[in-house]
Amino acid sequence: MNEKRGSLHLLTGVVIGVLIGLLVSLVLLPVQYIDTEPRTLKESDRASYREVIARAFLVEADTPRALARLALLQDANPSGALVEQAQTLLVSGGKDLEARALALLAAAVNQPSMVITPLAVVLPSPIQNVTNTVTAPALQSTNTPTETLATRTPAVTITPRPTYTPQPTQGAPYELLEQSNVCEPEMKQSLIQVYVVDAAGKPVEGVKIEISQPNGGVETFFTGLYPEINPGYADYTMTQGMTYNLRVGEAGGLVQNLSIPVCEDDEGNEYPGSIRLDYQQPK
Amino acid sequence: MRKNRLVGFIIAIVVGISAGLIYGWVINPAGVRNTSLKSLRNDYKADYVLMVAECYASDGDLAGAVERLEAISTSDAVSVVQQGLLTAQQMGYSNLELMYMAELEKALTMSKAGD
Repeated sequence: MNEKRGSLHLLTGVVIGVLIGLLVSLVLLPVQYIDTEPRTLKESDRASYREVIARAFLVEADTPRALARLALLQDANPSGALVEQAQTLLVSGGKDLEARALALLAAAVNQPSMVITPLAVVLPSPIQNVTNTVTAPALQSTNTPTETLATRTPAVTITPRPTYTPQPTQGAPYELLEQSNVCEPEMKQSLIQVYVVDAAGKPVEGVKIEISQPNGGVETFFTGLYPEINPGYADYTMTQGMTYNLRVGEAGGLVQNLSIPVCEDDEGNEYPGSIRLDYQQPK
Repeated sequence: MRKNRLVGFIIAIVVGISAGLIYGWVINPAGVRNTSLKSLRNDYKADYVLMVAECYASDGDLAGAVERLEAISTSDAVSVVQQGLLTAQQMGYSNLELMYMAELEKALTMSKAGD
């Protein structure tokens, strides 16, 4: 009888010990992994990763690259996850830009051929300084990555930016003569088309046009980059769901809330149109 | 006799804990899931740093950049960017990409020096 009791308390001890050991090794202090991939991230960190991808997408405007990065997370429904996260951000208030970026990336998932206009960036240093700036930390570091490097996501595609064109002699501010919607189904992009003429009706090159987005950056471009269309012509590619404010010249009035107009073809199907703005310097 | 039983019980618990730990840590560890950004491989971290640098280049929000960088490492933000730059150089990132990261590193260093 005594021997049976003795065995029982040992068995009880082992069972209790095993349960404690499993609790610690599997739940409380599980194995810590290093050099992991994004697909293994916990949900909160997946959300952070998605947010950064979406924000970078606004800057790079490189849809394939953003989609390649997003694919690293191996979401079952990438578009749904992005939309849900965007809605959560909007509901919680704040981070409006992040929510827009996520929504835009969700649209890119559904329409991989989508082209967006990159946000303006501010980089004070010229490119030539990069090598020196980068070398210093590289030399100081003693850590050498030993992992096999993963396949890189596609490199950024640099969208050519308009080069600076000297400003014409400043006169009276340009006035908006007419604003109209352009509905041409064959146009592949929705544009803000700006035509600028002087008081005599002659096209003016080099007129500065500023375009801004609520909660976004300001971009500047100039007329005269498409002389084959018109020397006083400039355009800007709009993004679905975005609104823009536009100013022509240094002291021109602000045209607000420009967004992609909805056009209809002969069969009643809707498609995105463009906007035409005609400006003239008053006589 | 009673003392021997207590010692035996404690030894049994220790043996059980050891067995449980060996099972959970060596024989059948928990799968690779629910990891954090801090455990990402260096090349993924470098790409993350690049994305943060691009965000900073567009919004100039240094505090936001620091917050994002601290999510991927226990080191300070400057070290994170420097490590990212090192990896990016080894992986042949473009000059423009390196410039974004270098600008962020410079801004962080200046901010740190100003504190």
